[in-house]
Amino acid sequence: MASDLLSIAYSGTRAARSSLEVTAQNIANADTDGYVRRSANIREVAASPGFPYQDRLTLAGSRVAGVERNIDPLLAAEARRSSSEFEGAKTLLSGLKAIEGAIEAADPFGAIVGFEESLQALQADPVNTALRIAVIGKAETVANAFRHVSGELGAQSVAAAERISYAVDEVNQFAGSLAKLNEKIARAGLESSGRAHLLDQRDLLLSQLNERADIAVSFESNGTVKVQIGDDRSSALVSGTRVGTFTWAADASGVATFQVNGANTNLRSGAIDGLRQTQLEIGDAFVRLDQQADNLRQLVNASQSAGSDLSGAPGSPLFGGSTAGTMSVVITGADKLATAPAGASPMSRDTSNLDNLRASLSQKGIAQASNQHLFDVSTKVVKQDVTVQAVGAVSNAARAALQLQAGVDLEQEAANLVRFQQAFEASARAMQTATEIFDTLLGIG
Amino acid sequence: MINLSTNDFYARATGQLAKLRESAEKLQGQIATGERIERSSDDPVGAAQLRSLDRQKRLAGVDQRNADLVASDLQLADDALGEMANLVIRARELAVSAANGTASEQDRLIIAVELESLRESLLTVANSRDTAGHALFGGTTTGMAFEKVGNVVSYSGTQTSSEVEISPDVNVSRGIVGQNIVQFSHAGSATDLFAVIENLVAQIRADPAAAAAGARDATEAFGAALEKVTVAQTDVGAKLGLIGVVGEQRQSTLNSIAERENQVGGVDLATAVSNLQSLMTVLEASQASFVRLSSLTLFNRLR
Repeated sequence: MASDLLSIAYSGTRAARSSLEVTAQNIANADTDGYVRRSANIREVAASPGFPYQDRLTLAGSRVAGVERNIDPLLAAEARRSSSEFEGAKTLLSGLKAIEGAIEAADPFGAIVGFEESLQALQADPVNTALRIAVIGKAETVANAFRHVSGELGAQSVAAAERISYAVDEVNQFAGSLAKLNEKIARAGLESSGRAHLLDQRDLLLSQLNERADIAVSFESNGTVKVQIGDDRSSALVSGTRVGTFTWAADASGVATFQVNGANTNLRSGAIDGLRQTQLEIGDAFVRLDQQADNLRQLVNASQSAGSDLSGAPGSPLFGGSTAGTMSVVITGADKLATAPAGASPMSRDTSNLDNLRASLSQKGIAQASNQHLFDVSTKVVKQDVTVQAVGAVSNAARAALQLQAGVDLEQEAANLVRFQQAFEASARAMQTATEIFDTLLGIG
Repeated sequence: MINLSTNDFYARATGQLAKLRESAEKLQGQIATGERIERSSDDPVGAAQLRSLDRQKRLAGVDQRNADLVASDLQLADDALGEMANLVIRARELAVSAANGTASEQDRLIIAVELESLRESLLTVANSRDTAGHALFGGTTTGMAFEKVGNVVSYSGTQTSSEVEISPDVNVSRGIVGQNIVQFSHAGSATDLFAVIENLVAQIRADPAAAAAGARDATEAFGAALEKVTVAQTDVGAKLGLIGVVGEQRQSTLNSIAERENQVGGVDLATAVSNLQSLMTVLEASQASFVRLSSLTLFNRLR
């Protein structure tokens, strides 16, 4: 029976070695993205004994039944879902901050106040050329500010579309990789160590997909996944080894719409949805900016045509362009500013037309509208910041919960190293004992 | 069994340290700039208020410059009116001398010559220019306030003067129109200073011996003219006074704007510095405990 003892001890050393290897693997991958802590699943081996000992208790050591991934699919799903919301909220926040930054940097409000200032200074001496030139200069500043914000918003809009396009490509790549993984997972043995690696890859891909868009995942019994994207349930992005196509198109107002295999689908979270919401915000900012520019242009130009310039002729328009992006100063000279009322004599110092313009700029709240716009955008930033913090806390908690289960704890692994080393040494000692017994038996003979 | 993921421990620790550092840097920036609001979204309501206050401040600044301009024009007008008063007083003295029965024909002819030169001086003073080069007493005219054709001087300015805003609700007229200074009524009929001088000169030249009655009449007229000039001077003084009062109001408005700006957007240094100090203490403690914790690993004990 000594040979049995030897083989039992040998199987023990093998099991301990496997456990040590798994521990070493865990330590090596403590910092690997998507790695799930493994543990060796050790089972007892009870071999059926040969004649004539069928009724005896027969021990045959232990074996490594497989490598387990310590992960709860529910926790993983919650971590993915909350990180998807977090990504979407973060993306929208940075988009809103960029809009705020564009308006704040070009400062149309400050430019409009500067224009008002120059008009007020002109009132003191309406025929003074230097003061008139200052008004034209401030009008240029206003037009520049509007054009600059508009240009900046346009660039942000283009960047958002590019990022959507890039992220949609990524989604399709991930979907392709998932389909390939599905095939490998279906082929891999249920308890193989390679399978654990494939499942890590699968979960990593799912969370990367989820960071970009909201997905619905259903797990098949063999470990493969079916993935649907957005709210569309009619077709799948990935199903077994089949890959769908995820596409996007800009609607009439330039905002992205999404399709999976041609069927419309609405995203509710993820970075791509954050970008889509950013596009909506940029569009909204554009509308308001254009409105402000147009209001100012119409008001000033109406005042110009209602008055007469230095030569006594009716004033010509000061601003051109009906949108913020095309706003410009079209007046041909400082003497063309119509400060005097219609019919006034040349070089008139009557400022009643100028006074009317200043009063209506103030009454119509031209500067106030610009101030309000920046206020609204920055309020949105603050609200979104609160949302991001709340969603971020949820996401962190979910990730922490998942990590508690699936992450590698080096202290624990260190303890395991000691434990399995002792197990190994104990089994080795058992082998030595078996040898000694065998030697003793031989010595008797 | 609870498994404390090492990776998660580092992620959390660095996250917390980064957050503390971010707060510390923000406070440091506030202390360095003295401003609590760096970008609008730091405090949208406060930032919007600050922008409105800035607009008020900038427009008040223009009011200030406009008021200074008008004040210097009015000062010029005041000086010119003082000069005019002196000239009118001299003209009155001359008229008194001419009215004296003992004055010889020769004396009166000399007086006529001096009166003519006085008229030229008066015309020059009445056609003074303001700081912008416009006629000081011509209202909003583009040319001269008074024009002389032959020996007749007539007012060629406008009837009213333009007004300049010196505060959101106070406009002040930038000067006195010339006709209100030189025109007055004498013996029931409207006349003006230049006409009285011209008339007296003409009477002396026509018959120096019989000019005493005319000179007496002119003496009274010069008295009325002097009164008119003095009234104009008082008017200018009142306007300067108004500008001064409005200026004080503006200054107190600007002070309260500055105060509000400080309340809304300023940093309370004492609080900020003590906050920063407590934050730095927490940060240092966190860093120290992080180093301690991360060096506490079982692997150090495995020999």
